[in-house]
Amino acid sequence: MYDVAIIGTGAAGISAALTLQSRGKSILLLGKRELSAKMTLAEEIRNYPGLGFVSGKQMQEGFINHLAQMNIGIVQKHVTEIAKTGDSFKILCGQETFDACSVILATGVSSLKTYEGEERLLGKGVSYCATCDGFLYKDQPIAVVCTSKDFEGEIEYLEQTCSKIYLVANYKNPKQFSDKVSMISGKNIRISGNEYVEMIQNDTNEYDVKAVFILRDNIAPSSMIKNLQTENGHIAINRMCETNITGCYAAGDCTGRPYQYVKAAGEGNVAAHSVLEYLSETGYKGNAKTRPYKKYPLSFDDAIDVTDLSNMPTDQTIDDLVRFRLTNGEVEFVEKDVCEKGDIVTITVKGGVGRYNRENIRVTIGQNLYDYEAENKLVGKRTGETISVLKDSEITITIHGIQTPVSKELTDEMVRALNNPAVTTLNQYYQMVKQEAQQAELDLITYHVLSEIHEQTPTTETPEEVIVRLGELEKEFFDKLFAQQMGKGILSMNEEELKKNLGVSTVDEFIASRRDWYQMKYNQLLGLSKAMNIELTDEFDYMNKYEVLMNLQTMAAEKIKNRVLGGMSHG
Amino acid sequence: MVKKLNYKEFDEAIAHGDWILDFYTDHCGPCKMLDATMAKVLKDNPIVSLAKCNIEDDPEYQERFEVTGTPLVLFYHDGVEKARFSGAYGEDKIRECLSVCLYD
Repeated sequence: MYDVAIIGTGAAGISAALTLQSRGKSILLLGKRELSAKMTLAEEIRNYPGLGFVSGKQMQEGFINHLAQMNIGIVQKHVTEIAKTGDSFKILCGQETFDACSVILATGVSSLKTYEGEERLLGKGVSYCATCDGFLYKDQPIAVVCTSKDFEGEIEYLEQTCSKIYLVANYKNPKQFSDKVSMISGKNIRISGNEYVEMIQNDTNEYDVKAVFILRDNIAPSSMIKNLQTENGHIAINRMCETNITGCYAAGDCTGRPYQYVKAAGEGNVAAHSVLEYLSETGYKGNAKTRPYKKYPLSFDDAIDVTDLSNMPTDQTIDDLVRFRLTNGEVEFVEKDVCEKGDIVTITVKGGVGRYNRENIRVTIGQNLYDYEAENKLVGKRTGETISVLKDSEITITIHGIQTPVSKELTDEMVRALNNPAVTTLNQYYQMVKQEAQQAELDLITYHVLSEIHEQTPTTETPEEVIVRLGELEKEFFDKLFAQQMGKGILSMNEEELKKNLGVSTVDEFIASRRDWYQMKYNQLLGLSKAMNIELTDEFDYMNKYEVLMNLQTMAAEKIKNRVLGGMSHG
Repeated sequence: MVKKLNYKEFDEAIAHGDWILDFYTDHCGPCKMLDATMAKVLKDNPIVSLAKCNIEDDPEYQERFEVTGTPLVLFYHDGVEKARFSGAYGEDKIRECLSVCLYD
């Protein structure tokens, strides 16, 4: 569990991370190691205090160095979903999940769909912010693509600055602008130019322009986290950067205009301070460590260092798991005299309506599923007693019975009932569950370490080159394999047989179809051997390369096990 | 209490008492996330039972309950549906539905 998960590595996310790291919080910073693609495309940034005139690229380098200095690593994963579970958040990245006490959304603006040339010329004439970049095109012709009436103010600003505006108004009832502004059709928009924007085209015409401003409201990551409130396509926040979800904050471009680095960084800082306050108020605390900054590509030990090892099951977890499995969560209810939190009371309620007029209902005290006030008042009361609570009207609650849930005592018989001859006592069962749970976590850690290494393998050859080099060998391999298993090798099959067995008409087609897979396996092998400092010669037996890969993975798993369980007793 | 219910025994099993029905598949990531949350809710509220229904093993579930996405969670009181949600919501949502199921 991390204190805070920060989604996004633009100015807002990084600003928040720096602040929280210096306050000793554990951070999960999710994003890209090259930070933000949009940032590197910025030609020049002039209003970030202290930096003077810097390019987006310089700024990016500065940010990366700062993260290295503060020892904050970036977890390069694509977040697919965030779910609030009780007091904490689960962050889903494909098949992986991370836990955090709080979340800062700093996802920036992400376009739904882009126009032809938009991405390529972003920062080179294509801009998303009129008030930021408008002055760069003083007395020059520009185009504006606008999706909402809300941005007409920005168009008015450009009207004063630029010599001519071609306006694509993708919304109803645009206002009447001055003669400078000509409406053009928004069908089939393309932006072109070699180095910089030169022209915008639609279905009927071409217009020479120096810049294209795209004023587009973006969908906030409301699809990422359920029930997140948005406003005009941005995440709705207050002055403290709080969203409508407790413990979830947002900062930067995703909260709305102006889309400026300095504003994003400022909000990141505000969000960080709100998180600090939230953590201290609630007392929530993560047990994971901030992932350290490492230079890429990673060595094997570095890969373990950056992997979360904090979820190894504790004795308490194992106890709970054993109990839950052996009893199926069944409990016995034991009668008692005085009501305490966690007890179950049977009550009759009179005087109100709906849930406040019921006979013989069972309530678990302290869960607040029935009524917070009533449950509090019932604590310390005995069977037969009546209390009154003021709801819309005064209601009376009479206690008919008090029970406390008691989990069944665990016995060796329960274990024997599982019919596993190797495990016949509670102690053995406990050890088995412990080993299983540890192994499951170790497998997961191994998987994370390996994928960390694999993702970082420098691609030295293109898939085509790998095919040329390895294709002949692969042909031989499959020829032998098919000869063994089907009685006829692929090299001696005719077109019809190939179609039937492989779904292709030529052997070369088949080999080519497997190229991405080749490349992946080849890279994995290369990356793993490099990370583990094992020299592979070019002449190593190709036929055995999967075996070599498996061996390397087994070695890696063993190494990880020793490292993780090193200090722990094996029971 | 947790019970893995197949379709044949389903109706009889949930006819009485308060049940959370969890429709899941083995390869659904959000379903697994929900598991841990459910275990906690159940530990805190022992008067409720959980039925785990694998919609791949018993496709009948899919048709009858109009399962268009997993996890789908239904709340039944004495055999009558009281609330439902679909998706990996958190504990708050489960508790909200449970409160309706038990007392409204």
